[in-house]
Amino acid sequence: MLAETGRGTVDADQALVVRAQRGDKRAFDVLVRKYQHKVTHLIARYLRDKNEVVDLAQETFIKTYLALPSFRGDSAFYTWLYRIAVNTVKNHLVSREGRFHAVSVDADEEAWEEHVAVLHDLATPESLLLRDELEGTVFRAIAKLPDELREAITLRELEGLSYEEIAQAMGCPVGTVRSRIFRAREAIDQEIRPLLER
Amino acid sequence: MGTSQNGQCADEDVLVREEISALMDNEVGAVQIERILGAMTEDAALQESWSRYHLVRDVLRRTTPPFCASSLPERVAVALAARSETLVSTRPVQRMGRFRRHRKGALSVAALAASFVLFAVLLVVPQQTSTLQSGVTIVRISAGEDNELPTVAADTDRHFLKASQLTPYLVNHSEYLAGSGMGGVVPFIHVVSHGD
Repeated sequence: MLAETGRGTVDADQALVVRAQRGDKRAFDVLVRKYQHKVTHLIARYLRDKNEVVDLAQETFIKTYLALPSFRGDSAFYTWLYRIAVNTVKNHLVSREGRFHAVSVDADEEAWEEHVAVLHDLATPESLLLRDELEGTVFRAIAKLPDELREAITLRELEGLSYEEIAQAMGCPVGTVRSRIFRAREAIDQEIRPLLER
Repeated sequence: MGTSQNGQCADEDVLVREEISALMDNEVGAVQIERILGAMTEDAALQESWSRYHLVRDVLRRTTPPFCASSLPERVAVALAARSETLVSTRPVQRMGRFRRHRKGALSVAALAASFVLFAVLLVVPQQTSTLQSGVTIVRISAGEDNELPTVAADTDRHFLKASQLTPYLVNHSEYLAGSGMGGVVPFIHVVSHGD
């Protein structure tokens, strides 16, 4: 039974995980698309090579899919996914100790953060340029939005408020909030698409 | 009419995208999720919208990777499909493999047993001689009962054979000849001696 978050809505991750556990690969694909950037970002903090990062991200998702039957939902799906990604990276780094002085896989997170600090921001100038361009495009697109759309998307994405909380803050119905957030996303999407298709 | 249908499709598409946007924020019900999943399965553009909406979120929350690995979902899907195909196709093979392993094991034992039998036959077979047209006798070297037959292994006979100008190679290697049945196996090693 899926726990409702309020007003008949359900936690999307939980609903998708339950479906994926029943063998619905569409649901798992939606989860991959949702978390691909986050997982890749996480792995890229530890590794320099783009191909290696993508390979490990792929491995992380495959491990996650195979381990889904054992996921009982005691923690949030992303928390669990995060652990799998970090362990995948650690195992990878340990296995290639010749090139990387690995610390114990049991080392705590802080030790790892220190250990890989030297590897941070190892992206190539080209990829950094694309990321900077993407960030610039998104923030410019937000700046161009009508006030009500900009406020709605900012409260949602940066402040993390729910639709109900945003509705209260903006003094409008929840349906209006939903519509404003969608229109804001569509407007931003229009701006970044040419960049991604290049 | 066509324009109206296109307009209706576009409206439906917008509605689905709005639901996708709401799904990102945990603001849809269980029934809607099923509908969204169905729509996304049929329309790759909707999947891309879902990916890009999340990319924007990650940009705003500073969790964007230094590069865009847009092919990752496809790679994962292909890898999982290949994996499940492998699992499906290997199961019967694994069962067959067990059978084959048993059969192979039995064949190996049989082949080993046959080798021992052949080896024993070659060793135990009674010594025989055959006379060549030239009057040279082929002799089998074995610990048989016919000790009275001339054997080239003996020093005296070796000396005699040398004296008879036989090929030194044949003289030196005569001890490897086990029996008459070996002629086809070791065709170049023949033990020769003068017959009486």
